[in-house]
Amino acid sequence: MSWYERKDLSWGGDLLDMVLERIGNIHGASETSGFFVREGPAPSVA
Amino acid sequence: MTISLTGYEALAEAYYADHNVEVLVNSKFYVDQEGTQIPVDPFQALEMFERWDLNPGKLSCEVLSVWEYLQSSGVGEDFLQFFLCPRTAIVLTKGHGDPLAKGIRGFAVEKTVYDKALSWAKSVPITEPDHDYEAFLGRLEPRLPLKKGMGHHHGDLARYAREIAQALMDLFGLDRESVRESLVARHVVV
Repeated sequence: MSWYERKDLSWGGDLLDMVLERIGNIHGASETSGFFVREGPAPSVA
Repeated sequence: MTISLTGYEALAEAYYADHNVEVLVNSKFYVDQEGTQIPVDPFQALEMFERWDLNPGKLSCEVLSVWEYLQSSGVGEDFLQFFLCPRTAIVLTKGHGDPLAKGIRGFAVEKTVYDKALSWAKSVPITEPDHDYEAFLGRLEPRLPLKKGMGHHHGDLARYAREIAQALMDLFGLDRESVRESLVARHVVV
């Protein structure tokens, strides 16, 4: 089991903050376009 | 086209088709003439009703659902992408939700909220595409804000924070080990 999948931890808010902080620093994500629905593992838009 | 309408509903759709070319090209109208379905254009249908007392019960139409229209024609200058997780759906757009990255805003909703909005969009005909899109987005509520700090204070977001964070890491191609190291450095995890 990966570290981020452990269900006995309660640090989801910290993890989400860290992820949002890093996403905010991505500058190559403006090529995404269109309309679609994806289920399961999401593709990278970065 | 999955939506079939008759009577006054078809008449109302003829009005929208007569006023909006996007509805016009994505609909078909028929008048029943002694059991034969005669194709008519929306203007003809309206004129037959207004001038010649067409019985609305003889008018029928086939038209795209809001969902079909969004899939086939997109959302204009905006984009709309859903990423479905087990208990939530992440919604990425250009103009709605919290800013995530350059040119991308987003929010999350519980899967049940997404399912209800999807069911609505599949069951209603297009009327005015821009308005239909906004109405669809309006059904994606309540929203889980994707804003720093909210994962600690927003009860529902806290419950789904790990699921959403994992999906966003995949979506934006973040290195999970690097994220872990940063959390270790902040003494969040060991």
